[in-house]
Amino acid sequence: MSSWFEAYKGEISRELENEVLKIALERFSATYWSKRNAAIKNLPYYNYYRKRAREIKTWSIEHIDELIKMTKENIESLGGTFYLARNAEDAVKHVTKICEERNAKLAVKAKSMVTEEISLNEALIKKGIEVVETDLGEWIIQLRNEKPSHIIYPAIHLTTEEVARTFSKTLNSEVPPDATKLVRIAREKLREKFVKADIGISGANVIAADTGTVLLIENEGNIRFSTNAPPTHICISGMEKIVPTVEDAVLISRVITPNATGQLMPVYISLITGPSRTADIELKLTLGVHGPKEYHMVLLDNGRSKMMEDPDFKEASYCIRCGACLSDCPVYREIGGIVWSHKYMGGIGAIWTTFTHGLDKAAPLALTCTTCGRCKAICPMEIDTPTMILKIREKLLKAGLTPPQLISIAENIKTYGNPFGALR
Amino acid sequence: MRYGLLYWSGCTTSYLAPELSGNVVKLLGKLGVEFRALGSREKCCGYPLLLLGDGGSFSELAADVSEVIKSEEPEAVLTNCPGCYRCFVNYYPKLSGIKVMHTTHLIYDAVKNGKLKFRGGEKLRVTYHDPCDLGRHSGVYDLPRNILTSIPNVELVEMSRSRENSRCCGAGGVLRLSIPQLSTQIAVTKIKDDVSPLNVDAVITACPTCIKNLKDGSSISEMLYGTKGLAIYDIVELINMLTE
Repeated sequence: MSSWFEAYKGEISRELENEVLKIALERFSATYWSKRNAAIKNLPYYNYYRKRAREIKTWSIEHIDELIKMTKENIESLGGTFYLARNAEDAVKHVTKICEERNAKLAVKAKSMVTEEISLNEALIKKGIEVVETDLGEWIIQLRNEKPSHIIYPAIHLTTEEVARTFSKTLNSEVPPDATKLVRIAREKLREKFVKADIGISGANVIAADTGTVLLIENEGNIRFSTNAPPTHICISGMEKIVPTVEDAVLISRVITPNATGQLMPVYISLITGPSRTADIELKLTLGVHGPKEYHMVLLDNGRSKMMEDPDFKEASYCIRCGACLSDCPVYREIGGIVWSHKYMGGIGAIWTTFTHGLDKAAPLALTCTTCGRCKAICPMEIDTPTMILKIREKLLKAGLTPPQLISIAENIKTYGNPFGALR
Repeated sequence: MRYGLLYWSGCTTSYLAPELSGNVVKLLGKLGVEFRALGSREKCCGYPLLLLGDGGSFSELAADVSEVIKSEEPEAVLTNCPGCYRCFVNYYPKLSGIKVMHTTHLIYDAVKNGKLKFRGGEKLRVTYHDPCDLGRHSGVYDLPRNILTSIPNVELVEMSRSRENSRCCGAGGVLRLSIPQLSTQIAVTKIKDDVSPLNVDAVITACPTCIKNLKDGSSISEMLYGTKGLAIYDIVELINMLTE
């Protein structure tokens, strides 16, 4: 029972000595902090936005059933399908079925943490479907067979030099460590995939119930390609992403962007409301013109209902996935998000993991936190992660998952009156 | 004036930094404040139990500790430990009616009332590290800064991450005990990235645990990255050094 914590500490130790990671995180930390602050300074209404965003999310979580129903009705009336998946297995089965029924050979993907959560890629590949990640960071880690280390920057644990090494290996020819050249290669290699793909899979940053609209934020243009070029678009998202209106969704995007990437606005915001359509000929409605003919929305529960109903943890469902808490976390700064994650990283990841994958998977995450409160201070939604971390630690103790090394600290206090086991 | 003050040093100070409690006692002497201490009757406040998720044991311990403190009938409990301070203020309902003070409160009052006589001397360039339990968790940001800027030969410069943005020293949440290598590395980065660009002579803080971790971080950073050797002082220590 003790061994897992010792083994985990060994992994942390290796990350602390990982020279590539050290350089990558040093560069990231300095750049993120200055860019994010500059963006916030240039947003005079930022505090209004974030306070309103919290109100919107609070209301939405209280009315989630109503919002799901509204979203479903709107998407179906647009000619799309809607599916509420109870758990990971259910979601994977549904998406796989859609792909198989269309005899899909190739799926292109926009970055989506929910598909990481349910291990969708692995399932599709098993069915013989080629899956290509099209977000540059995601593509890099797909080539390396790694998991994302940050919800916004999946390959932030790597340096330019390391990415060049990966590309050189994949292409079997020497690629210089030059970001411009690396991006050029991604552009060339991925372009053909967009056109050939049978299925485009995306996540959602926000969903507006009153119109069934999905809002997607990006800079690269890969989301536009993935959701536009293939004949079928599958949007898969956590059910907590729904807000009442498009205006609410846009407001939330104004809070996500500066905190995620230090921009005032992202290069692209896509608002997608059902499949592509025209009525140019005799006002006859025809689906699938230049965009997808088919549109499928899959909303995932997978523990979210339980989280939303739990007064101790409900607040975690207000998370808009901007990643600011990770980007300026003192622990993340040292070890990044490969070791400090199951699927979701860091402190907020510990809360999410408890509900999506179970307490045992959350244990190492919750125990690697200084409870310093930096995450709560930077969080635009003011989510009290440190308090929830302590609630998780309570659960760990009750479940017998607290390592003996930590139990002994508690025992020292009870026996000797101090945590060090010193005799007075 | 009879202060009715009970000095609570806390475990970290008692066992790992006893010289700091000596400094608090010295300061109280300078201020002519009468006080009492619990001696061997002082037990852990139980804060680490909360950090370990053991709320049940905490409640039992807190009830006992509350009784011991109340039996002394103090008007106020003074501690130099932000962990104990946060714990008493937030998780000790039975202490209601007894004022809980951190040493920064005491020093600030003394400075405001002109009770401290600063010696002149060489100029000292310092920065202030916000302990998480005192800053973000208790909202005490201004008091230590007001104290430092009122000392004639002290120049206070801020880190780029300060106040609610301050980087934790790395010791919080029992990480110093549970994963010490990571805990120390956070302190090294704090010294290297946040402190060393300021070219200060000393880092002032107000927490015995932060002092331990920052001292470790500073010596490792000096060794590995050649950053300047730094003095790490608790604000009580600094005040004793600079006053008559």
